Amino acid sequence: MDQITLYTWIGFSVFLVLMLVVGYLSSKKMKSIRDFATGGGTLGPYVLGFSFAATYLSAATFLGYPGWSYEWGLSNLWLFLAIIAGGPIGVLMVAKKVRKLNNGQKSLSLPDWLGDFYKSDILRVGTGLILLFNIFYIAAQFVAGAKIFEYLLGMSYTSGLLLIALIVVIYVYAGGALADIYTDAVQAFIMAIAGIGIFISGIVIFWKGGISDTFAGISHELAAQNENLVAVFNPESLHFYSIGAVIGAIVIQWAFASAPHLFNKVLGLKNEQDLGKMIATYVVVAALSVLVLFGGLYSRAALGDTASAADLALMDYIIWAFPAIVVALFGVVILAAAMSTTDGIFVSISTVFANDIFLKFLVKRNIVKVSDEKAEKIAFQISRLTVPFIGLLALLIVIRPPEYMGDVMWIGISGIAAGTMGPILQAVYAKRKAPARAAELSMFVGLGSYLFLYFTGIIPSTMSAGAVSVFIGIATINIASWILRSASSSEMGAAEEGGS
Amino acid sequence: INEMLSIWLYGFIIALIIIGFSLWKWYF
Repeated sequence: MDQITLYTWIGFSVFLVLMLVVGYLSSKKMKSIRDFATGGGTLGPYVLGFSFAATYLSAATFLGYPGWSYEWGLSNLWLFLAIIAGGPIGVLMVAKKVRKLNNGQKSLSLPDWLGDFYKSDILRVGTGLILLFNIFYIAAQFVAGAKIFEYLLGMSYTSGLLLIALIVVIYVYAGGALADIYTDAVQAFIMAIAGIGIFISGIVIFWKGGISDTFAGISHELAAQNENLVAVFNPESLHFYSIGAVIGAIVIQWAFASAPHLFNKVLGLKNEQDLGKMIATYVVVAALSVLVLFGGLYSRAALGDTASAADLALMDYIIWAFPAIVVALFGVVILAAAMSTTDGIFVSISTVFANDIFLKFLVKRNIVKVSDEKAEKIAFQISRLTVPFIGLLALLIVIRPPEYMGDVMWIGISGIAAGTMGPILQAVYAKRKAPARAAELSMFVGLGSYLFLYFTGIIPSTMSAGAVSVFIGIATINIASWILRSASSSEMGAAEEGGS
Repeated sequence: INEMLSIWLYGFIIALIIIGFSLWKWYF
């Protein structure tokens, strides 16, 4: 273990120094290049495809998803199918539509996009507040970082958590040199390599003379421990215990991939063919990266139920199967991913407060009366102050280590999807624009039903509870639109015509 | 081998075919 600790310290120190140098250089003279890099514009479709895939591949997915495999066996392969089927279908359906819709609308964030589309401040501020659910996503990445520090460097969980939170907050303040499309692309590339490497390593280690004999051997090892580990639906699983739960997972993956503001990256592409190349790249990269969840199966088959926590089962397997230098490298990759993923979310949450809520609502509606120049200054202060505040909140959420970091992450994603998918899908697909009141109602009902279903334990899976609530939200906006239209047409004597 | 691994393998292949076909039809 000492060798691993040493390599990890060296690797992580080199990485941090490199980050500081890159951050310093980019803030000094590369300003124009960074603006160029984040502006989309003329970026190639392949780079964009990689960076789009990185949106789905975080530190918590890389440790958390194999943790689910380890705990619940082959049934977790449904997650692979949900990610590969649900995500790309959402992207394929939405990408073309959003390209057409977005041409007239220069909105950068989701609150902006929905607020502008429905011309509703309630929706703008409400969506902004719903995005605070992303704090759960940050918290899950903190857990991933803390677990790596705990496991590879021998710290306590609490000091590991404090250290990763501190590093991330300082890093965000330093300007986040990692937070652009190229570094996202590199992250996705490394994760795809790691995913393939782990998938193949198991086949080599368990080799029985043929592919199908090898997997039969692995299945046999699992079944010997617990028959449910090879079942199609594992009754013990939080996520894949029935066909309904599987459909829920597919739906929520589809919803997650349909968020329109993710498609800002898409707008820079020149033509449909480039868009197609980007999506194809994203599908391949995502599929290869998600192969990492086989690592959890191998860990369970080779080492049995011995991991100190499900989320560390993948690391147990890597230590067992690979030389120390690879273990350290993997740890550093997880830490780097935790930093780059959370950095983007910190920036987007602080933008919500400074831009969407303060500038575009409080100042614009004259609720706060200040001069334009002063408003800009205050907005900057707000975005600065929210960073440590968000970091502290995320830290407090996971101050006691959660059983599964994957679930913490999905509390956030499902909450956002439940509150926003109704208005989003209506905006993207409906022939007639829904009334703002209907969109606002959908936001409250969708989010409310998610909180109720998940936190009362009626639906134990975060993903399924999210999926059911997404459906409730979609139904709400459709029914409310219909009622509001009927009411106004009977009053006015003529139906109002709204373009979409 | 067994039911779940079959679902995974064939599901993966079918998903790739559907995605490939839609990409071709809508984008290429």
